[in-house]
Amino acid sequence: MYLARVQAENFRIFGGPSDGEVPGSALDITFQPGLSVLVGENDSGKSAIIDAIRLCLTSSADFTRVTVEDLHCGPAGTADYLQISCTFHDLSEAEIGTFGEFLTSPPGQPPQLTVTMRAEPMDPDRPHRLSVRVRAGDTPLDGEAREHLRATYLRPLRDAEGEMRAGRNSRLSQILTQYPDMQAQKTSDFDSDKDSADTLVGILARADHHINANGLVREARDEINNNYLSKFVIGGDTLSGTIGIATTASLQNVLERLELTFASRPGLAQATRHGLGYNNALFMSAELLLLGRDSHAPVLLIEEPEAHMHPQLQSRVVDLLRDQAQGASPVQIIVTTHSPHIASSVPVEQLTMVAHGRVFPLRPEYTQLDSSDYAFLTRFLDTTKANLFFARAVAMVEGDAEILLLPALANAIGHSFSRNGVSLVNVGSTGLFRYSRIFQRRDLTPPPVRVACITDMDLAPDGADAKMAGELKRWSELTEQQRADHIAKKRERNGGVVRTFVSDWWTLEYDLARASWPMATIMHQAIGAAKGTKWPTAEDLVAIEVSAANEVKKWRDDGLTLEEAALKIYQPLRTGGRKKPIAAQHAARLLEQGAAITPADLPAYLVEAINYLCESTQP
Amino acid sequence: MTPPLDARALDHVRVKAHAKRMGLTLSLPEQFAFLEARGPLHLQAAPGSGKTTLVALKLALIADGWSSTRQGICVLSHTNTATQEIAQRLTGRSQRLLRYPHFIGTIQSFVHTFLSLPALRSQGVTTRAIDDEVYAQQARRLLDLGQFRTLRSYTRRRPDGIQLVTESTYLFEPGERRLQIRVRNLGRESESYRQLLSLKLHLAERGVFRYQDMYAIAARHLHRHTRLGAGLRMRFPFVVIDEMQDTDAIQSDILDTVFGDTAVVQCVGDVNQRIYSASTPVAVSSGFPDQSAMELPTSH
Repeated sequence: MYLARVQAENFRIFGGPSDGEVPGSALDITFQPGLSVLVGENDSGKSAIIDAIRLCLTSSADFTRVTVEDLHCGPAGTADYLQISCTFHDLSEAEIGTFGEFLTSPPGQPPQLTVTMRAEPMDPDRPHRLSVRVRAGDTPLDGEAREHLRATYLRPLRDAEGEMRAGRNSRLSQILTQYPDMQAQKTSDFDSDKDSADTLVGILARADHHINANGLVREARDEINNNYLSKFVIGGDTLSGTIGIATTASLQNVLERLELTFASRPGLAQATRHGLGYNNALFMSAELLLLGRDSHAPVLLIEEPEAHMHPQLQSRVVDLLRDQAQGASPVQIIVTTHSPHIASSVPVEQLTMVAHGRVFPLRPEYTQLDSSDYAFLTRFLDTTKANLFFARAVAMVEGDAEILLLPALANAIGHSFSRNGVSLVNVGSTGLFRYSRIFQRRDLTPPPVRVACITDMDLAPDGADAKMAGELKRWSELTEQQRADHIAKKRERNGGVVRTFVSDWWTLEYDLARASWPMATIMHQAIGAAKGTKWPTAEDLVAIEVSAANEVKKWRDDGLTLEEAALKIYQPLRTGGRKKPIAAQHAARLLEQGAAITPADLPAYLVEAINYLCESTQP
Repeated sequence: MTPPLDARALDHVRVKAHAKRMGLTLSLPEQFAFLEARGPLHLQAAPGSGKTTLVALKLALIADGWSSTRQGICVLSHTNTATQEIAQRLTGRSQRLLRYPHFIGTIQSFVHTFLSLPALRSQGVTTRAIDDEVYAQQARRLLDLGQFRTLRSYTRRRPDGIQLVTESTYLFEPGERRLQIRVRNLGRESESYRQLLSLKLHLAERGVFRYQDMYAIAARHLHRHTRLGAGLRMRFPFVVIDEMQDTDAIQSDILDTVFGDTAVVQCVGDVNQRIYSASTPVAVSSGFPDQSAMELPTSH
């Protein structure tokens, strides 16, 4: 059986159901068996989903209960109830039996189990007290049956070392108590004549026996008892103290004294302390101990497994989780993450984007991605591209030059990509729309992410010589209608939040140079500085920039059109062996040095794209 | 499947020790034969044989040796009184038989809990009353509506009169898509029968049922979802049915479908104490006691 659906009304970020007019903001998320990964920016609702499952099913590790703070606060004030439902599908016959009285078997469908937790303030005068009912239909789901649904929960870890330390009711003792055959260690087999013991409780009893036999301990004890404690005695009472380690030698007592740490290296007397990352790994190992061995825990919930781990270790964690999810006794695992490493290490269909309290599973039935897209994305979605899952807006571009130049251009006209949560993703020349389709949904409710695909017109100007034009069609080879069709074809994948911005003429650099005289100057300076393989010295740069600026000024004075000047400026990049990324570096530097650029100086398509990404225009 | 019961839970020594703790002296070999039996059986117990005490002792032994938290023992009886009699004798550890995953109760409540209530839930019906009197009252009120005019005049012409309506009970027939109603001398094609079904459906949608309706609803649910029976057999690999002699054919059918031959079913009863009730419309099941039944004589 697996957790197939979680619904929540009025729970934290998630509001009430639709009332016919106002669309609801309740949670309704579906899961598949195996591994599911929730990705999204902070405060998007990822943890609220995990907590909804924990509150409804209860979870290991710590005690959680619903509080008034969990009630959704909307425009209409605080909600007067909250309700969370978890539905399990695919029950085995044994599970059908175990949950027999709680099942729902809709006509034509196999039996399923829906657990509903509803909490309401008990009494208006004491609003902090909530009454909580857990039911399957009308049938109360009682403690022992609910126990079988208990999720295993690994919280976002800040103190892995502390978690594995000895102490009353320590997590390690809880885990070990449930370890198979541990109960056989319960009885003491300490034999004081033979001085032998094998069970854990026996070993503790034996140690206690020896401590009590120790002369110094005895002496101290007697002194306490005779010299001091006896003075407190009133009447015929007797008071006496004892020193030992196991006043009540129970299994619990033994297990609470155990701690899990890294073993010392061979030859070293003491173990060196390990960093947080490895301690986190140790903690997860302990938690996973019980799973996978005929475990009945239906769901494993992990928040931010990447905590404190370096990228390579994060990938190992994902491998481990995927093994657990597919192994001989598969475990359903639901993970939240902020790590592009983790997001890029799982197949795309196992991801669910969470944004502003809404969920967007990336499974085929929800997106417009086709099967070849899934194969493509699973192969090519790497760490740098995976940051698109965490962005408010994504610019999909086809080259490194765009990555370097776009933020600087945005800054120059008063927009900040970082402040607006804009991610730039270089998808090379093949996959622009494969990636953008991630954001195009079948159900037509778009995710609150703006996606701008920025691409080149790729028509050579009539003035370009044969070498520069290469195999490209020239501008006037096409009729106006044909050019319109050419653009329309590039935009045919538009839809939902995805918009395509096609350059006005040819390429980014050419279009920048052709847009205005100030930009022509900057581009000529930048491309001039990109000459040679070495980064020019500061003096050289000044010289290059001054002469380039003069040259552009001369062209302008000579009456050249911007089109003619742009061709001259662009030529070294097209046929002169200059590198586009290096030119882009210099252009970005010049823009950051405070070149006075207004939106009117830039190509229109870039201004539109930047405005769209930075939310100054409606999608 | 084998019940998750300790291999020595019903050993002679343990039986003896436990009986002693309960202040019982066991003298008859028949008593031990019943207590130590792990397989399916029929026990014909004579009056004064101390049957209930033995059943309680056996349950205590099983509770001690039971290792699963997902599978349970199912103890069925006919009346709440009989159920309570057994429950009262469970003390200490064996009281856990009163809770999940075990079940102690009447056959009626078993069918209701595990089959008809989940069936109604699956159809989106909220049960308001499962009560013959409430049903009769509401049925009578509905009958006054214009749409049941034909049915109303029909009841006036019948000797059983309005009882036809106030006691109409669902009947499950595997070949029929909908539940039917057992009525003598009334064709299913007749307008009166159509109105009777429609009136019953009205009440069903409101969540008002007769006790006996639950068996038909349960039987249909089992028929539609065959894995439920298999699931319940896994849940209750050990079943004790008390007062087996009073099990009627409908109950016996359902118990057979649910527990079949794979679960261990131990039936206890006294065929000589069978209640012959004129009001019971259905035939009493005659399968008890079977040929190889154990016999428990009156103890002295």
